[in-house]
Amino acid sequence: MKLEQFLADPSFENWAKRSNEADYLRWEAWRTENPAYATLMDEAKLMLTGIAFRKIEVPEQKKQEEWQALMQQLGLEGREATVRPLHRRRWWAGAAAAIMVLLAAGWWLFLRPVEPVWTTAATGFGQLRTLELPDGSAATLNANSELRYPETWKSGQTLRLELEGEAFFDVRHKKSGEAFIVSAAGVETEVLGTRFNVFARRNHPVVGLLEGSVRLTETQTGATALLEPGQSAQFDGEKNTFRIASDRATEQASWKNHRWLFDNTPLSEVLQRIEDEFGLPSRVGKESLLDRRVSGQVSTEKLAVLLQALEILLDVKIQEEGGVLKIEGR
Amino acid sequence: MQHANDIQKNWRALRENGDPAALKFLFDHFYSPLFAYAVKLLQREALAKDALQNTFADLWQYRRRLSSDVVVRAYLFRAVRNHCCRLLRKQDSFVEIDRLGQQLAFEPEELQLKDAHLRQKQMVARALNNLSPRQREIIFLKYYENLSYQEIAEVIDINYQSVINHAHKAILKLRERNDLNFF
Repeated sequence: MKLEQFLADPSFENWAKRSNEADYLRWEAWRTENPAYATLMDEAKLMLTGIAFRKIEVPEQKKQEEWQALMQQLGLEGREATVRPLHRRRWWAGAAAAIMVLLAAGWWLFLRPVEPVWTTAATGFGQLRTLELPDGSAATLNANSELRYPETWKSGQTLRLELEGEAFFDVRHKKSGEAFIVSAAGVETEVLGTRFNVFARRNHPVVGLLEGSVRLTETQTGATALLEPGQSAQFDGEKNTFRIASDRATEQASWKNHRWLFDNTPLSEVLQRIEDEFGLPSRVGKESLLDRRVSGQVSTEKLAVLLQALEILLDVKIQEEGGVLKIEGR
Repeated sequence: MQHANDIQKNWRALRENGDPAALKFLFDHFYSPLFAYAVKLLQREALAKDALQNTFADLWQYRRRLSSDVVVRAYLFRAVRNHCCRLLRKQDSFVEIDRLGQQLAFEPEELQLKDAHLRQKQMVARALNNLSPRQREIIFLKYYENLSYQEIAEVIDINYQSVINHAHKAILKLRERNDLNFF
């Protein structure tokens, strides 16, 4: 973690200002696990909270004098008076307007469609973030991802979220009729109390289930699939069905513990993941290197450590040059 | 967040419709914080008033040239800064933009420290005034005006990384002073 990454993370600011208890506790725990960062965290905290100043408001009267002076300078005196006197209109026009207002107010109060206010949560490269959803469920966003969801939710309603990137969901147990739907690149995942991962980059979403059950629907074709724990599924656009793989779900969701778990994973996939989550594209010396397979666990907290681990696991040399990773066989 | 929406809405109304009420909204909303900044840069209230008059007059006169894609707050602080520089230059033609903010200083009375005596406030103010002008200006924009580091970068026209570096150095320098346990 670098200073800038702390500063750019809204949840870190919540820790520094103690404006969100969940974020505060999460960062306190992180700090205990990473004592080497304690000093940098304190410095970043001071950079956000710092010193309190007594603010001076310009008195309203002085402000209005300045405004009048400005209007005079611009030759706009009197024009800013936008309220027109009512007596110029006919009385019935006023009455008609009043009735219209009443009708509109009635429509507004009783008949208007409920338009939810949407919230967007996003992460930058190399950044994870956990947030609480309005229904009490938790979502952990992987790096370079964005989740949109309504600000409020009422018991009994469907909660619909839109995802770009990758996220892990821990859904609070649902009463019947309370659907929880994640919509990502044309695939909708509908769940009852469960833990699952949705990967939605480059238009090929992969959904992995850890606990509970989910139903997937591809919105264009209407194709559906029911997942069991441990399974992950991806829509096959040629056959118009879901391809289901067993035993990949845990591996897929390992990112949320700041780890990547590989099981005979080709380097091409690993490099794509680094580009997705750290924003670093790569170039390989020889095309055949891309087929090299890697198994094992690597920490993703520091890019340098991750790259070192990959060098050893794959027996290659990795160098960063001008924002591009160069990979050479040894 | 309602404020942010209103600001954008009025910015659009000013650009597209030349609505004086939109100018009034921005004037009311930003006058106090912008005035505080101008006073800090110029050290004189009369001059600061002129800087704000010029800023809002330009905003009206060149409204059609305003960009839709700006952070309004950062744009206004930047405009005030430019006008302050112009006013200083009128008095002394050798003023460089870099010299702006040289005089920026903090008074002990401005500080709001929990349970602090005036003596402690004086020490803090002195420590702040020992920072470089750049650092002082960043400290002011960050903690008095509550701008984000991204906005500060736009206002004083240096890159984001430099703003962070200046601020980090300033904090380290203040922390060196063990007698200042004001955080």
